[in-house]
Amino acid sequence: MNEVAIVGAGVITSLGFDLETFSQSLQEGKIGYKTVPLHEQLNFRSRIASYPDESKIDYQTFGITSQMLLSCDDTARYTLAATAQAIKQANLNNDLLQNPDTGIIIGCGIGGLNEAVDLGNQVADKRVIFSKEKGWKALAPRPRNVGSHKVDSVMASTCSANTSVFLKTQGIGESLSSACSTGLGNIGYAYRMIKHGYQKRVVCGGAETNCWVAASGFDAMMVLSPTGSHSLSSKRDGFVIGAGAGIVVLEELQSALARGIKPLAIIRGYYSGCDGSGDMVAPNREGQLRCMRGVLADGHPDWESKFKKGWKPDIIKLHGTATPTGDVLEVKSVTETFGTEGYYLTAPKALFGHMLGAAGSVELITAIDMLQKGYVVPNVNCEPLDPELEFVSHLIPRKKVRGDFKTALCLNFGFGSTNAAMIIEKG
Amino acid sequence: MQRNELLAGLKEILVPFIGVEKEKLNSATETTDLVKDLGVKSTDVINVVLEIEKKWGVSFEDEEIDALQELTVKSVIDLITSKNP
Repeated sequence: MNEVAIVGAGVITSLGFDLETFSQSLQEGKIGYKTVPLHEQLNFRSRIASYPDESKIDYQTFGITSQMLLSCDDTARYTLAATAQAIKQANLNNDLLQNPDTGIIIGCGIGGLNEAVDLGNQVADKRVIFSKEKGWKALAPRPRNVGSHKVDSVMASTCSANTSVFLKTQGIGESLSSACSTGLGNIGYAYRMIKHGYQKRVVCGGAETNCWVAASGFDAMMVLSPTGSHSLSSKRDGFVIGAGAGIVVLEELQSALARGIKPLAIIRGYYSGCDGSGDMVAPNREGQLRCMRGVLADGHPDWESKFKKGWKPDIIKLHGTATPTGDVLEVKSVTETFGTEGYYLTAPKALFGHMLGAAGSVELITAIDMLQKGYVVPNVNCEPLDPELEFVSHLIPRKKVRGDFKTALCLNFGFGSTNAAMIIEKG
Repeated sequence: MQRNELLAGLKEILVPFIGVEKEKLNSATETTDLVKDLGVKSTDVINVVLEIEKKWGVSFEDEEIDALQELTVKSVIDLITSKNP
């Protein structure tokens, strides 16, 4: 079994298009969501969202040409920009990238929907043209109107496909999707590929679209907050929808060390499973407990026995969506597993909202940043704390806490009763 | 419409589709080949045609596009002028 290191990371989020800005925003407790005029025009219940301002992303500076962007939807564009950052930090040159040992595993939760909506409109578009001989003439609808890039930008694998084309990798090229566990799930799958020797390094993560159609589906479910992302608070009334991408480079530890790379973190365990409750959306105590025990049993042979002797991570990064039922159940699953002392809880969706398919990967990068820089992201919107969480109030920092933190546990749960968890150790 | 006007308009259309430095596009003449000289991908030719249709209010049949023997700037401009834009 190989040990697996995280050697590079990149983000596109409402809180920044580079790691440094993103980190600064996290440490300051800056909130990334704001009012979306389109949500207002369309009478959304929730009129706020956490979208990156794409007009301010200069793709050329990431080495991404306009020709490369032709086959991308917004999830793939975010992916390429985050990938470029991660590759740079990992110090991977073309020789290391362009061979069968390097793969791509990047997924999205909804993705491609903007292009799909556009596609339908364009096929049906009854265009009117003018010519000197014939005057005004209406044209019949025709598929050709959509151009030749709708398939590559709509397909479920658009993020991994475009990244593979961008980097010219020759290894695995796949996209997994597991709703809000997607980001962590793709990284977990990549981790297993390296752990078991199928790949030496993998560019992996998740991305999510900024699409009003997707947002309207969640708004109809009444799971989006009209007021803000109040994770862990009694004021919480749903999540704030977001978009973006989080990409990491995983590499077999000895390979990274041989290149003189100091890992950002080392993955010490991963788990993925389903509740088995027969419910699409409701969180489930048994499934979450199985998830937390499962991640302890993976990766490091000693960790489960250490756990029995009281081991616990220094930081637990919660899924913490701020839905009425989710947060309390999740914290109680955590305390049932790890007790009520000796770690910090943080729910960073309070800052950057819920990026769905990108949530798990952006939040893993958040955890890496916390270990690297020695802080815990403040739970800025948790007051007034839910009375049911008063018993762990001392674990929930309202302001940034500093410390020498060695390990973090990341949790993500998704529709379809998917549960994913990863333990990382500071590199 | 004059051919030099069409050439200038075509160059504007081609900007996102080229796979070479923009200087090569700026210096393109009627003998320049869209695919061989400017790095336009063959799958993007249809997208260039769509942009031409929008820009000059013309419409091409699929057969007319299939009949293009070569993808030089000249052949594209000939096709546009055949529609009297």
